[in-house]
Amino acid sequence: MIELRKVTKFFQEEKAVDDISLTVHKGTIYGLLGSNGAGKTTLLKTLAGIYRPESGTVKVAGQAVFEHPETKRKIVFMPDTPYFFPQSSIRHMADFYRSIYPGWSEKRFEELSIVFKLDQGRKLSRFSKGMQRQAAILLGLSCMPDVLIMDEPIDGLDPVMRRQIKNLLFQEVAGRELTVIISSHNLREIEDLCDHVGIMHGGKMLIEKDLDDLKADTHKVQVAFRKESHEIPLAAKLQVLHREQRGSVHLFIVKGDRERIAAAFQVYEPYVFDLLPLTLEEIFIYEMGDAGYDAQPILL
Amino acid sequence: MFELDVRSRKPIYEQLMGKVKELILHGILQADEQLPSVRSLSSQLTVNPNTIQKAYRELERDGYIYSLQGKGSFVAPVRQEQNENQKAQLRGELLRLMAEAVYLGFTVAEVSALYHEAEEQREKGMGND
Repeated sequence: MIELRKVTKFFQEEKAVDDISLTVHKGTIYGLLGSNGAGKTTLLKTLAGIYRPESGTVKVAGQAVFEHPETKRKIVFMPDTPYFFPQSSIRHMADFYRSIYPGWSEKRFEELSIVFKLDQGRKLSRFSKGMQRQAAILLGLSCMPDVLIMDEPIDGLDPVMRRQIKNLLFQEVAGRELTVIISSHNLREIEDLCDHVGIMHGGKMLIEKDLDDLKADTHKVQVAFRKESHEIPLAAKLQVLHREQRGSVHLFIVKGDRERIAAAFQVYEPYVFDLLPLTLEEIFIYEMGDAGYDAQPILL
Repeated sequence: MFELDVRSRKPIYEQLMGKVKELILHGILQADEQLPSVRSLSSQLTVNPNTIQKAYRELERDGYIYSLQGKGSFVAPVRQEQNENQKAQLRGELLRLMAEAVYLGFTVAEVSALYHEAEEQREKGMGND
């Protein structure tokens, strides 16, 4: 289990992470989302024990992380740009990780080497971006961590490899309760991969929830009323996040219980009534809009 | 056995629950038959194991399946009360569809023919097993 309590991290005057508390249970795949510069990478690096927070505590399995090598032995952090030693090959890097991580599994390394068909003697600097990413995942999983932290891991991978890596992560989660924390802007991928998500903006956590609960909590309603005046009393009864009108069809984004929302609309026997769950991308955009961060409709 | 639509807005665990229910109702999955393990299903479908766990948990709560510690999940025999609950739910849905059918000009004979078709399909499903 990973526990952050009231974590704040400054860079000089700038507050990159602002009073964030977070609990990630064992065996969870947690997706960290957020606007550019929201503080995702800072939060991940604090979690991995790379940064020391100005205040608050970070604990993994009840142990402090920063400057605690015995805790870090169970954590693998993959930065957004994979780092390898200059001139090194996969074989060199494997030797290094083998000496650092007591949990290193030769068996897993060999199994994964079959999956990732990479030349292990070749210099990693000559690999493409996607191949370097594959090498990082091969090495990371061979360390058999309890916690795997990945910053933007999906970038540069082809669809076959994405599926392969998803499958590998799912196996590790199902088999030995690996905890995975992933940051990404690719919301489609996050939606398929994660069971919990947190959305950050300006160093704060806006919302943090079970992904299905999050999706079950916000709905998109498309409706055409028999009388235009019917829409007025609805706003008072429901928690409307957003509304717009396209011709005679109204679009509402409503928070709350599905049945209750449906009942509220059905009273007026509308001509058209469609209640849809939101996609993660839509939730992200509306939540960000709520926080005052939205795309401006500008015609150039 | 399970085909999921990842593009659908419907949550994956609800889709999974729907599929398992369908297979049970059509007699393709029979009472006390073992369901695939969370791990193998996760690998087959490339779906988060926690999501599959959740679907199984909900199905168990609804009385469709039961689980044995360390052995896996199995199809529960249909219980009478559970049947009644489902029937009440389905009645509402059928009524709504029926209203639409009436509006479109379906005759009683046509609706009854559909009933028999469904009955035949179910018998065939049982026979194949």
